[in-house]
Amino acid sequence: MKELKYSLIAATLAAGCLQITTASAVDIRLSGFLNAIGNVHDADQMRYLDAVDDTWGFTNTSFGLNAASKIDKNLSVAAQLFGSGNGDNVFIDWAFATYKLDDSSVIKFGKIKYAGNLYSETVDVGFIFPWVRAPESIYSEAGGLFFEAYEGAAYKFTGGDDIELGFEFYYGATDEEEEEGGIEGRDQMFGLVLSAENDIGKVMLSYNDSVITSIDTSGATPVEGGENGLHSTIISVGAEANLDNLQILAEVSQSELENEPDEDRQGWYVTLAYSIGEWKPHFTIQEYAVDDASVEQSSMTLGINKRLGTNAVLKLEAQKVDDIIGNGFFEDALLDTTDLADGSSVNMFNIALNIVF
Amino acid sequence: MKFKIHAFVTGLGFMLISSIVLADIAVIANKSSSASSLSQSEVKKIFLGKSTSMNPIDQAEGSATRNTFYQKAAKKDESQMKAYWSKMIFSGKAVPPETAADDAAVKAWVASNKNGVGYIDSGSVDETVKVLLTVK
Repeated sequence: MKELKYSLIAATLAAGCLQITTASAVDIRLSGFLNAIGNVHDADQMRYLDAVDDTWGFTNTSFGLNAASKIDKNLSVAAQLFGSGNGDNVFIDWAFATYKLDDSSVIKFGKIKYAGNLYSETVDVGFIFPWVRAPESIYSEAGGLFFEAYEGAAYKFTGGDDIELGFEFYYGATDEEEEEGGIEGRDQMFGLVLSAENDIGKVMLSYNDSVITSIDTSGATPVEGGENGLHSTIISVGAEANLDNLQILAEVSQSELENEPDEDRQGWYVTLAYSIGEWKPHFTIQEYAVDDASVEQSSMTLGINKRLGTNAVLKLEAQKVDDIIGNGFFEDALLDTTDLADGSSVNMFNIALNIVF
Repeated sequence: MKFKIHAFVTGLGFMLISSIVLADIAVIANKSSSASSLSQSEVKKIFLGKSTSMNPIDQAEGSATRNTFYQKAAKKDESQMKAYWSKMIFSGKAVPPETAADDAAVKAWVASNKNGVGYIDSGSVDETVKVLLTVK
C-alpha cells in the first residue's frame, strides 16, 4: 500500500513536470544530491538510529532529486524526491508552491519541510553541513524533538538590511505510516520561527504546538493509553557563527507532553569547525535525555572533511556514544531481546562522500 | 645582475596578481533600465535570490570575476557560495541566477534584457550598458 502510494505520487509529480514543460514551456531547474555513507559501531546485534550496525555497510546512502520552476513573476513551485538504501522507497520529501506577496513576504502551500532548526529544511543534504549526519540529539525523529515535513501552509516575512530579520508562521499536520503498521503524527499543528542573520551568523528561536495522533494498524482506531490526543510543544534555540575560518554551531531543543511531565525531552549540541584550505576538522559534543531517565545518552564526535572540487566533500568521523541509558538511540536489530548495560559506551566510525549537482 | 632580473620579474608578478585581486567590479544594467543606481546591499539581495526587483545574470562558476564579486559583495568565497545555493535550492527557497560565460556574454545578455542586471570587470564596461554600482 505504501509502495503504491509513493509510486502514484512520484508518477503524478513526473506527469506534472512534463505537463508544465510541454504545455506552458516554463523553465524547470533540476538539481540533486548524493550522500554515500558508510558506518560501523562495536555493539553486537544493536542498530543505531535504525541505520548503523556492527558490520561495515553503505546502506545509509541516499539520493535526492530536486525540481524547481518559476511559473510567473510571483508564483513558483518546487519539489524533491528522496530515496535511501536502508529500505525506504523513493518518496516526495517535500513539494510546495510559493506565492510572493512582495519582496518581503511569501506564502507557501503543500508539503513543507519543518523550519524549526538551523538545518531542518536541508537535513538530508550532507554537503551543506560539517557532519556525516546532523546531530541526532536534535535531528532524529526517534528523539521526538524534530520531524521532517508537514502538510499545510506557511507565511514568511523577511526584512532588514545589514541584519536580516525573519518571521515565519505555519499551520498544518503530519502523518507518518509506521513500519509495524498504524499512523503516528501531529494534528492541529502551528508554529513560529523567529530569526536574525547577517554576514557572520544567525540566531533563531522556534515554537511548535500540536496534538499527537496515534492510530493503530486498522488505520481508524486511536491507540488506547498511548499519546493520542495529547498536546505537545517543542521549543528550539539555535545559533551559528562564521568568524573567518572558524564555524560555531549550537542548538538546544525541549519538548513537553500534556499531563506527562516525565516524558519531557531535551537535546543539545555544540560544534566547532575550522577551515584550513580544503580541509575542515570539526568537533561536536551532544546530549539527549528524557526526564524520567528512561532514555539518555551523550556523545563526542571528531571528524575531518576534505573538499573535492566545488561540488563534493569527503568526510571521516569517529564518534563515542557514552552514558547510555535505556539503550539510547540503539535497539536490538534482530530479536528485540538484547539491551546495552546502563552507562555503557559504544564507538562508531562514519565515512561519507557528499555530492551536489 | 641575475638577482636584479629575478627581483624585477617577481615584482612584476606581484603587481599583476595585485591588479587582478583588486580589480573593481561594475554592476551593469540595460541602458533603458529605470534604475539609475543600486546600493551594495541591494546588489547582494538581488544576486543571493532575496530580491526579485531585477533579473540577474551570473558569471560562470570558477571564474575570477565571479569569485571576486561575491567576496566583495557578499563576503563569501566560492565554497561558501556553493553551500549557500545548495541550502537555498534544497529547501525550495530559490534557485541561482542563469550564468553567462564571460564579461562579453554578460554584457550582451544585459543589453538584450530590459530588467537585466549583471556584473563584469570594470575594465570591460562600454556604451552598450550602464553602470549602477562599482564594487570596490
